[in-house]
Amino acid sequence: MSPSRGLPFARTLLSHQQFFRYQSTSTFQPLSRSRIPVQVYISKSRNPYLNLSLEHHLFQSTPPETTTLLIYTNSPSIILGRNQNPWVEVNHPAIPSAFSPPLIVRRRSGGGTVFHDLGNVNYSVAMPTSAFCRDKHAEMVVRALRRLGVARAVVNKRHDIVLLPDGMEEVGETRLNREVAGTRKVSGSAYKLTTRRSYHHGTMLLESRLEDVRGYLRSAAREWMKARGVDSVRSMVGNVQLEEGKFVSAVVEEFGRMYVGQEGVEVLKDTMASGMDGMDEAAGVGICWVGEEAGEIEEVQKGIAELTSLEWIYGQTPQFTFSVPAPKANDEPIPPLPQSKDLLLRGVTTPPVAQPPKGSELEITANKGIIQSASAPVENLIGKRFDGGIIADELNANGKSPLGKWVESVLGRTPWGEEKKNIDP
Amino acid sequence: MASLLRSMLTRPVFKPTCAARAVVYRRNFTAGNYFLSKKYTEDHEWVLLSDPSKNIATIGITEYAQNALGEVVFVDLPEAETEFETGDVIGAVESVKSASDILSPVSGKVVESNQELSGTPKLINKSAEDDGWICKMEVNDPTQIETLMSKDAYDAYVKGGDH
Repeated sequence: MSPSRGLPFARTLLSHQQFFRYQSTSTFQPLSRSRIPVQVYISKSRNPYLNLSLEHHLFQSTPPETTTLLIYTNSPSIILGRNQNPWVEVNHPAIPSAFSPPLIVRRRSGGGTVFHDLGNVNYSVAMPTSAFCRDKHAEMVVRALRRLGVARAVVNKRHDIVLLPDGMEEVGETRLNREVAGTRKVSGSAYKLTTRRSYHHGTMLLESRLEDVRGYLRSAAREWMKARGVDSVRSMVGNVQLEEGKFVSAVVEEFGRMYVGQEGVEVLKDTMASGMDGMDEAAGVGICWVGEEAGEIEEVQKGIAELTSLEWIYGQTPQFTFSVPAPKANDEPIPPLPQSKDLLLRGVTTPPVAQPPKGSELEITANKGIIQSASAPVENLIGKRFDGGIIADELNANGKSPLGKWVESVLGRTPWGEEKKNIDP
Repeated sequence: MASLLRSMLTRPVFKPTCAARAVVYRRNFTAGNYFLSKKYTEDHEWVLLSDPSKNIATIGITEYAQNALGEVVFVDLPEAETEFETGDVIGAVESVKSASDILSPVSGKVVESNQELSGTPKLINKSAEDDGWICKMEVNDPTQIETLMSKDAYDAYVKGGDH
């Protein structure tokens, strides 16, 4: 939801920049420090590192008894769960050659990898832990979807929102307690829990260009990896095909219905429609649009520095072993990614993954992105960063260039291997 | 530890069914006699001064916490020799798409972490207050442990609700 949509006059009177400043200085600090029980923030930034850091900052700084809803949309990015492995989840060899590659992000919450783009809206509810429940806010979003006519939306056992298959009769319950074949996932959830405050955030695929991402997910090296930590569960995905502004307004309204009386809901509706910030202590609600200037808040700045650091993205990877020959075929069939809408690309399939040279043997174990053990002839890699380029160079230098070439083709070169400190958001 | 109230449980709230099984040591300190038993924090960790002669304490998350978290799929363990202040994040647990930090209940230096958990994180679900211990720490001040909650006080705290 862009505030300018409901605000033609403000738009003509104020430059974009002035408008952002006006918004933030007027409401962000007063609202986030207030005891107004129901607070809504809508981020105008498309930077995933900023949005996730703003989310973390609100989560940590808002008074313990408040409930906050933050809505944000990110530019194309692959968002890994807190304890996941980028060499398993991301197909690094495809990234450097991409015209506009997605950003790689490790979030602070648990769960599996998701893809964000401008057609995906994220909702995030922070609450006192005493009020936390894994399904509560997914069901809130299901009610919002149903009000918008998406009658087949329902929360499944994995706490995801799925669409029931065509022709399946509408269910009254917002939660599905049995397995149904042929559902499509439209929203995934993840959680961060602490003693006093917890948050639930979820994605919502409205009009995401899922087909664009097929080459970047699913690492070519997957077959040769045995990783601790958390694996992603693959699901058939789909879009709900709703306009962003309508979806956001419907979620804000449902949020209001859960936590404030009718009067508060009306205030929320009116404020949303006006596109202006608003705080109403009597009704117990407040809404604030937040722009890029949120990145100037000290804690948000710190959060961005951490999330963009390679020590966080690659250096927080749980222990794993990369070995040739492959440990064992463990992959159950994975559902296909959506087909490209581009007619020229239709029918183009991902090329089969190259196999290592026959008879090759290699075993490298890394923890926190640092190699802990490596088989001959690359024992010198111990203590170095795990990276396709670094391993390939060492193999090449030891007369194993066919294997080196193959390693680079499946693992790719990462910024981590180039000893950089940060990536550019 | 993540606090994990009843409402998040799909299962009934954990109710202790037996009395604390803590081993009771009796040992002389300059400050006097202590009955050494498990102590508990508001963040749902337990601490036991397991080797009083070396000021070594064993630390873990409580049975209540493991029950609230659900199936543990990953434990991020602290490395030996790392020093922590009370309240620092010493590790983390992931369960059912949820990341939760483990906070240090005392100040001190990690001497060992439970390597069993890296291969078998579910050990926390099976035995949170025994085989599923997280780490052992050489504590700076053992009397700090005495200021934490007793088993009875912790049970009352958990029953009390709002946390």
